Parts: sequence; structure tokens; C-alpha cells
Amino acid sequence: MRRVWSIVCYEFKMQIRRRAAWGLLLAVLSISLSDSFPSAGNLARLEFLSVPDYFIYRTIGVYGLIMAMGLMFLVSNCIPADEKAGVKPLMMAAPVRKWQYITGKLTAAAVFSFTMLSVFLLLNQFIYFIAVPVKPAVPEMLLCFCRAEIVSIVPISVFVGFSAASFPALTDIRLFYLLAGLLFVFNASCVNHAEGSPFYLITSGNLLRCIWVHPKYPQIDYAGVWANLLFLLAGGFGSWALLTAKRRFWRSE
Amino acid sequence: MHNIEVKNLTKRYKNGVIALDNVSFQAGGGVFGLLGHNGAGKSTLMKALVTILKPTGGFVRVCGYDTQTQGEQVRRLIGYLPQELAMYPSLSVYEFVKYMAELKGIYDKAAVENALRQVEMTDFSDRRIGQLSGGMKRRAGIAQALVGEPEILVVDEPTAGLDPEERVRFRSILSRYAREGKTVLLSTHIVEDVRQICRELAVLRNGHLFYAGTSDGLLNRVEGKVKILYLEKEEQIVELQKQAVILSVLYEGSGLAARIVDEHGGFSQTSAVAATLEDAYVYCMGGKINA
Amino acid sequence: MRRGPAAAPQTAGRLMGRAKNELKLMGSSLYIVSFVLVAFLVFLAVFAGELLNVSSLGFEVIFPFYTAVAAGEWGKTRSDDNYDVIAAQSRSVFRWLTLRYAVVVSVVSIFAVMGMVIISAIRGEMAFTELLLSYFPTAFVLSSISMIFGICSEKEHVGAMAGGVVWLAALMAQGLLRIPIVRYIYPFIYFAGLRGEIWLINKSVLCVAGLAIWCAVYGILRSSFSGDGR
Repeated sequence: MRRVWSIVCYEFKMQIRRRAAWGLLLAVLSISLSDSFPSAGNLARLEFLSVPDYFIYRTIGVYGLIMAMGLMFLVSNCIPADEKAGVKPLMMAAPVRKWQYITGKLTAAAVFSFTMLSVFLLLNQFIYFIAVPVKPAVPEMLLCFCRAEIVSIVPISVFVGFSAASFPALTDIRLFYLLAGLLFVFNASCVNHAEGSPFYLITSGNLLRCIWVHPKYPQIDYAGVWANLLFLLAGGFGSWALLTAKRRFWRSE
Repeated sequence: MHNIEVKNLTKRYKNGVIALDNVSFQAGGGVFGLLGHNGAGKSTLMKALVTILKPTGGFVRVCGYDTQTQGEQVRRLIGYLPQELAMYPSLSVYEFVKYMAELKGIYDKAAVENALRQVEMTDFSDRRIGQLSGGMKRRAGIAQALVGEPEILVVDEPTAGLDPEERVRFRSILSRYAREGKTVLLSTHIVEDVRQICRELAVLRNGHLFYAGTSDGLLNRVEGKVKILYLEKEEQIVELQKQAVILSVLYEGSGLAARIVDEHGGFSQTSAVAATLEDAYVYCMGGKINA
Repeated sequence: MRRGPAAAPQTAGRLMGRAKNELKLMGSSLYIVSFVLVAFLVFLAVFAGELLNVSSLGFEVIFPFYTAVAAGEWGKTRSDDNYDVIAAQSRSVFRWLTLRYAVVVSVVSIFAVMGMVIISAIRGEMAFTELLLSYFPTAFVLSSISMIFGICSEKEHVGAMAGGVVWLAALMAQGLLRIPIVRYIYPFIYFAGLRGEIWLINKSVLCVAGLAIWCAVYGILRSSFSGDGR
């Protein structure tokens, strides 16, 4: 496991140093705040914006999707880039097993996605806390943040990180972008629905209802929550399994 | 016992191309040179040796371990520098070497520092790889191969594209390492590198082994046969090609000086010169020598 | 953007030859992926219900996204391994870049037009000319965004990422259509259900925006190279 840990650490280090990642974060942060900043106008326009839970719900559901798409592009190159840089033969010549390499790379992509999404959420929440006229209690904000991390950011990161890192090693990267684009377009058209959501939504599925529910529809469809969670986790781990099962990916023994 | 034993090694690709055909040789301690033109099969042989390519036939043994059945043990014994290694531009030299060390199961910082010291990169260890010159990148590459002091060091074209100063530095790094009782397998098409540091060598041509033995042995094949023939016109070269192997042609004054191998002593108006390893290699590539 | 005392006049034949070379470099995957998308949209047109407007979704939303990805991925500029060689030796980097862009977008557009013909015959939601008008300006502006980011970064996939992020952000900013001025620049105006006169003005504005991006590309290249302002 130490080798997997090493791959995770160094891969994460490389990802986090990418200026494009921080550029993406700033761009999406400015878009999200231009819509959900708790100004008088926005508070009047968005009925529940004064509720911290709703703010997080909206941030993840709407703008988390744009972040997720950008992250998908950023991590998609991690395995093809190894081949291009000539590092893959080096890894194969070292006592590293196929599953260790794949697990390390995919986990790093997921951890990177998790970090960026968490920083994005944290910055949004911090600015919201500073600007909102009626200050919510800090423990309440923290609790809400932790809940969002567990029920939403973790499964999203597993799905985005694992699938975006593994599919380009399985198929043409452009075909992967196209398929991902189709999934994102269906997600974008389903954002902010108060009724039940399809299981295949990435950031705005039923899982998000564990953070905030519309007062008019207070019931949580737990079957939908589990289906959404299962889709995200199975999508992530499934792509790990597909890559691990791929022949001619690693040295032939 | 020989540290590297290659026996009847064959690699045939699915498209029918034969990269290696029945290649056999043995290498002991010291620097062993693998000479051959581009596409001769050197990199294929190296990949088979470091266990990342499965041969179609034959076997390779590294310190007695079979690369196909005991790959895990082989990988613990080798350090490898592939021909094309761009590395990760966003990591520093130290981080990259440490990363590779950890993948080899070496978690000792001293081992990393030692490898960097050996390639004289200690002062540049904090510099990002993306900011290094070509020569420094190659040195960082050899540092990651040296970390943990592997028994067998496999380096594929390490001096290609380097300036003379860097090449000299590289040669001294490799020969210093071999002096410690390790085996270095150096693949190259630069004869000078082999001449300077290799005691033994093998010559590959189009996947076939043309020669395996000492560099003196290779030299002996052309010793006394290399001559300089002066020509008046360029047209004479065509005629000369039918009678002898031409090593090089230089323009001298109004005529030409052809360096040839006179196998049968048929040229009387020639002056004999001392043969070099390069002469022997070019002669070998001309296909006149049989193993 | 030219180098040397006088650029030789480009004949149509020479241009075609260069376009053919660019096509060769892009390989068969461009055709395969484009075909997959058309096949998917035809499948959707046949099996999707009446509630989904496949025509506007397919050709105002999905195909322009794909065009942006294609421009960023097959039309690599600074991230191309040979960029330095091309920049140092070609008569004009701008011309080379424009040609590469034109070739990629043309191939994708041919597939888009084929899809339009089939889907307009199956569904009849939008006339063929409406489909053409809804596709081209949106695709032009998104793919131009990919190109400008591609020329600004030597890292791979940054151009496609920029095009993709702008596409998704615009798609999700449908709520901003309540602000009147946004209606003139929103790239998916037909998909958003706004038709009538504003539709044509919107598409004209997008074309102008695309051209403005190309002016910026020209300016970036001009400031990047020494000499006579390539």
C-alpha cells in the first residue's frame, strides 16, 4: 500500500500545482457568487438564500456541476500524459503492480477533485458568511459543510475522479469528452427540480436533498438517494474495474 | 556467473515485423555496450530485459532470474533509463527521484541524495524538471535509475542529443558505477561512447546479432585492412563500391580520400592506416562480417 | 502576420493540399467520433418522446459543444508537439492556425449537416435552414473560445476545457434570460424557447463575438512573435 500512497501523493502534488485548476476555481467562484451572493437583490430574488443549507445546496447543485466538468477535463490526461512523458515504462520496470498504479492514479484524481470542490464550497460559504445580513451560527455552518462533504462532495469526487482518469486510457479521449458532455447536458437540464430527480445526476441528484429540502416537498425519496449514491460510486469503481481488467495496459507477464 | 544471459531471444510483432531474431549473448560485470543503428532492435531487447516486453521466443536471465517467470525479482535488481523520458515538468528533481525511489520500495532519503550526488545534481535538486536543460534532464533520469544502487543498470541511448561535455560526464558516471562491481548495459549508436567505457559489446543489425565479444575482437576483424585510397573524380566511387567496403569519403584538395576496407589486398595504390572501432562498426553494418 | 518580403499568392490547389495534410494528421478518430454523435442523435430522434426538442438540443447545444471540443483537441495549436517547428518555419502562424481550425470545423459541420437532414426529416421540429442558423453561430463562438485558450496555453486539453466550461456555464445560466440584454448574447436561444425577431439578432451578435475572438487571436499571435508582426 505504500507504493499506492506514493503515487497518490505525487500525482496529487502535480495536479494541485496546475494553474489551470486555480483558474477554473476562480472562474466558477465568480460565476457562482454573481448569482448567489447574498446581496439585497439576490436575497429578494431567491426565496431561501438566507438559509445557509439552501446556499450550499444551490452552490453544489448548480455551480458544482461546472466545477465537476472542468475537473473532468483536468484529470482526464493523467494516464495518457504518463505514456507521453515516458514515465509509464519506468513504472512498469519498477516493482509496481498494475492495480497499484491504477489505484494510485485514480485515487489521486478523486482526492484532487475532492480538494478543489471542497475549497470551492468553503470559499463560497466563507464569503456568504461574511456578506449575509443575518449571521448564522458558526457550528451550524460547519455542520452543514460537513454534511455536504459526506453526502455530496465525496461521491461526486469518486465519480468524476475515477471515471475521468480511467476512461481516456480505455478509449479515445475525445469520445470520452463527448460522452461526458452528453451526461452533463442531461444534468444541466435537470438542475433545481423540486420533485424527484433521475438517479444519474452528478451534482443535483436526490443525494443533495440530504442537505436541504424544499419546504413544499419535505419528503426525501430514500430509494432515489440510494440509487443516486449507487450510480456515482458504481460509476467510479466500475471504471476502476474496467481499467484494471484491460489487457495490454501493463507489462505482460 | 554472468549477470545477464540472453538466449535465442526472438520478438515477432503481430504485423509480422521481427524486431529480434534468435539473439544470444552474455554480459558480466562492467559496462556492456549494445551497438546498432536506429531500429536495429536495441530498445526492444532492453524492454525485454527490464520485463516490460514479452518475447516471442527464447529467454533472458538477470542474475539467474528469468524475466518472464521471475519478473518481480528481476525488477528489484534493475535500474532503467528509457530512451525517451520527459518526466513530470511540475515536480522538482528531488521529488521526481524520490518518487521513483518510493516506487522501487526505497524510502531512505539518503539513497535519493546519494543518487543525486553521483550525477552531480545536488545543487539543482530543488529545480523544477520543466526548467532543466536537455543534459540536466538526462542526468535526473540517470539519478532515478541509480537510486538504490541496483545490480544491473539498463540505459537506453543516454547520450543521444547531448553536447560533448555532457557526454563525457555521462560516460564517467557510468564507468564509475560499473567500477563498483555493477553491470551497466548501455545501448547506443554512438561508437565513441562504447570505445571509451565498454570492455565487451554486442552489435545488432535489423534484429540479428552480428557480433558479441570484446571491442578488441571487433577491431581485429578490420585490423590491417583499413586503407586510404585517393580518387580523382566522384564517379570513381561507384566503381569502388563494387570492389570494397567504403567507410567514409572526404574531399581533399581537388580529389577525394576514400577510407576503405581492403579485404583481399587488391588495392596497391593505397596507404594503410590504424583501424578504429568506428571503422569496424561501419564495416559490420555493411554486412560483410558474419558472427 | 506574414514573413519574408512578399508572400507568394496562395492558389486554391496549394490550399487544398495543405488542408489534406491537416486532415491526415487528425486521423480517422475525428470521423468515427463525429459519426457516433450523429448516430446517437438519430437514435434520440427516433426514440425520444414529443416532450424533448431533439433538433434544438442536438444542433444548438450538443453539436456546438462537440465542435468546441474538436477544435481544442484535433485542432491543437500551442500544445501540438510540433508547434515550435511550425511557428519558426511557416509563413504565417495565423494562417496555419486558421486553416487547421477551418478543416476541423468543416469536417464536424459536414457531419452536423448530415444529421440535420436526417433529423429534420424524422422529427420536423425545425426547418433545415433554422437548424443551420441555430448551429453555426453557436458552434463558431464556442470553438473560437477553444482556439483562443489553446493558443494561450501549451498544456493539452486547456482549450477544450475552456470551451466546455463556457458551454456548461452558459447552459446553466438560462435563468439570466430574464435580463433583456442577455437575450442578445445567449448562445442557446432557440433551445431556451425564445424565438421571433430576437433569434436572428442573437445569432448575428454571436457571429460578431466569434469574429472578435479571432481578432484577439490575431493580436495574441502578433504580440507573441518578433519581426514583422506575425
